[in-house]
Amino acid sequence: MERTAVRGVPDFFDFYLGRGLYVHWLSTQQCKTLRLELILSVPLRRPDSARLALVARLFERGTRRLPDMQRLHRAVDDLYGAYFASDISILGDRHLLHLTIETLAPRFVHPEAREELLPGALELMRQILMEPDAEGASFNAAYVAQEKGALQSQINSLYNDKMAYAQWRCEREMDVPKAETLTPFGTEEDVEACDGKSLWDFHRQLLRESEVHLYVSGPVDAKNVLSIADQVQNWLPRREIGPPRRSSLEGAQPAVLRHVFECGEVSQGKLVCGYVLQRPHTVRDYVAMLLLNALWGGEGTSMLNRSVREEKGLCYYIESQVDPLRGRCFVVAGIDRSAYRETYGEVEKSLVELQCGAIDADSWLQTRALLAHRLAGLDDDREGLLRLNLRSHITRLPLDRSALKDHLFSLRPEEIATLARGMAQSACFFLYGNRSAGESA
Amino acid sequence: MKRIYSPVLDENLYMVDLGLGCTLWAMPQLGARQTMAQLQVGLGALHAFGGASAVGIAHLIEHLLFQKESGDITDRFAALGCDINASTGLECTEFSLCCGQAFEEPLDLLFELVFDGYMSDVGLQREREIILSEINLYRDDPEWVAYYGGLVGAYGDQPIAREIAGEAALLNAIKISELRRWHAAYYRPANTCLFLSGSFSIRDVTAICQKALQRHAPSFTLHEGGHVEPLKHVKVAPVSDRVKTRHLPLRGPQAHMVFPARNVGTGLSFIKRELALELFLDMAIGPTSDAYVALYENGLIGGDTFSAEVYVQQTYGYCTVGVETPAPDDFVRAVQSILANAWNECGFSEDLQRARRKMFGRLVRSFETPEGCLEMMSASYVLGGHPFEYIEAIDALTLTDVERAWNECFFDAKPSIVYLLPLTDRDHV
Repeated sequence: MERTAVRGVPDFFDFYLGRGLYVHWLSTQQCKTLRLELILSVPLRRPDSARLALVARLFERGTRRLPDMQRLHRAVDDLYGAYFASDISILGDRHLLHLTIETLAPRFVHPEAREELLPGALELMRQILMEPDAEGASFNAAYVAQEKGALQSQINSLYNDKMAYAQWRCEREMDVPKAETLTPFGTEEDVEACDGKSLWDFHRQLLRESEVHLYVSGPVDAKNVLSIADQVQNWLPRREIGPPRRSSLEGAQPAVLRHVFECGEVSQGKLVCGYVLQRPHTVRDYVAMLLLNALWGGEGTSMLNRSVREEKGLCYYIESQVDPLRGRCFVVAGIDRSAYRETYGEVEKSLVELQCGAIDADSWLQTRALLAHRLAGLDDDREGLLRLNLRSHITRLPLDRSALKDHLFSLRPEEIATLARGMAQSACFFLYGNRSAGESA
Repeated sequence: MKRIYSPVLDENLYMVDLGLGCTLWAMPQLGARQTMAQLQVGLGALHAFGGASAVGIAHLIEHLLFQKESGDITDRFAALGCDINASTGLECTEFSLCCGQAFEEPLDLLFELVFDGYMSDVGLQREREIILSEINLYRDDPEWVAYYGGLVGAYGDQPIAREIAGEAALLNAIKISELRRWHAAYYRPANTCLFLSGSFSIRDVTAICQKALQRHAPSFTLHEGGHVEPLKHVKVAPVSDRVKTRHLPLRGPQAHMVFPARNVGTGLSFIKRELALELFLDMAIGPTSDAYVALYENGLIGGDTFSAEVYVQQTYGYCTVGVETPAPDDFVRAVQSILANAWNECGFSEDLQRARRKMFGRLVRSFETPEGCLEMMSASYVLGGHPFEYIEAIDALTLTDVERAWNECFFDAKPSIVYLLPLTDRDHV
């Protein structure tokens, strides 16, 4: 079997097994668990987004041999309280399905059970992925109906979290393609249109066409990893997957800035300012975006926190969030209705300061020190390392930590200023309240 | 210095008296790149001092301590590349530090943060505004509204059911002199415990902590500053109105229940009591139970919103169950019946082994990172035990223990119920 080492993040040993299967291995004796994570990556688009979300839910409903969720979850419990999850997420323009099983390292379980732990977890993963419970060539109709209802409810509950709702509304108002504003759950309309047959067909298509990343991490040796990888490749149908391509999103330049106000039953206003910026073409661009965000509003010591919270006392919560892969940046704050103008003014003022390169020397040093600490701390954060590795593969940028750190300490304030000047505000959404402070609805 | 070794986890816990009554609990983690520290102060919203409640006060002190005479101490942590955070709970206030392997300076700063009681009127005024904004932020969170609504139904107007941060009138009435008195009384070494996890030598780290303590808390002696009043057991209130309905801007209805534990004397340690309640809830209504499957398949559990949680401390205990559901009344009736009758109908003898195995896996995972070790130390400390007791307790727990815990919380229970309903058109007018 052909195995090709691929460029990745040094923390992981990465290789390509062919036919769209990438294997990533992190050997660490520090972990008390062994984690298998299979990530199926497909383009984010309608109506597939709803289908992927539903298939992820149906994976939790059972397999041909464990045909209901009770039997499936009991089988997971029997693996010494293994952790199992079937989730979805978005990374850039990719929609990801994560199938994860985490078991205790063998040394923590009864000697008689040690040999069976890893094969047991792998077999369970195989059944869930390859043999979900079905009625012929269709998912179980009753389960599909229940999961459609549950997913609709999940889509609706975005509205319950008013900050998340405001951010979603802001992104919808931004001058970017609508396909780029999809949530990982799909749309209600697309969910409604799904049935057992169409989902089954989508599942087969997923196995044939998706790019698959297998992450194996914990106290596990090369022999075991190769055995796991070969088994996973044998599960998958013969596939012809094209060479991986770079994420296609380009930061659009907005034509007009939209200010949108919505009155709602909230005690505190939710302000979200949305910006577009060019996606990173180099590792240095990527690091510059992270540093800009940390200087502006991503840390407790950043400009927005100092001015809006500490100096003006206008809010408890304000932060900026950058998503380099989507070319987006948001400033999010919980403020009183009366503080809108002043807060918005401070946000604009701080951005102008960044654009002029007016960065306080202490802040510059503190922020770089904080980010360097985060990078070093990833050694204790297997999840964080996995996310960084996956980003590296999706962006095709070699985001290894030593390179990130080198760029972090060689970036100049002028480069941050140039990046900030390239940011364009596309929308400002304010959900303001008609409930006075402390009033109960 | 006392050392406790867990053969199951292959981990050591060191307990060290740093002097002045301050205790250090440390779990070295060879190979870890981060050092996690938490300085826990025994002051939470449930405390009382000179007849006054700590509601609002404990949280305000936590905020104000970050503003030192030389400026915001967060900047000094950041310059060292460290994260610092704090939170105020019902029984204690926690100051949490995350730094690298060069921890001498950050630990020194942590002691300065906690023991330097500098507070100014200007700082007080600003923090009041920030905290009012914090309170309003949470008022738009349905789970927060339901949580406090449920506690009011279970405990009436006792401090446990009041927002830890207080409310506007209370905050406006607090004076700086009052805060200084509270700080002097409670922020004493003898009322604190430092938890540490990371890659370090226990001798070196002890010396560093002792030096920092001497530097920042030199004026304290063990008996200075008057008596710290011990916490009293929180009683379940004889509240007649245990059912409340709130209308909020939601897409779908929600039901939330609080089952307060009656102090009926289970004979179990607090750690065993917590685990027994968690085992019971998992067997009775967890994802592998018949009851959960029935609720899910009958459409009474919507999305991924179902939760069943256990909260046990030395002075109180309660369990919560919550969900977003199209039929909140039906859900509440079903859950009450399931939990009240679970023992008689099921027995759980077949489920206990599986549930214990699952819990064992979950607990071992809790010790995987320095952060997890810190949380386990902190949680067990407030329960009067040590972190490895969780592991030891699982095997020792019997069905009789679980039954005792069930009896305390769910037998003949009168839960507090909060319905969150979407606003109707009428509400919008």
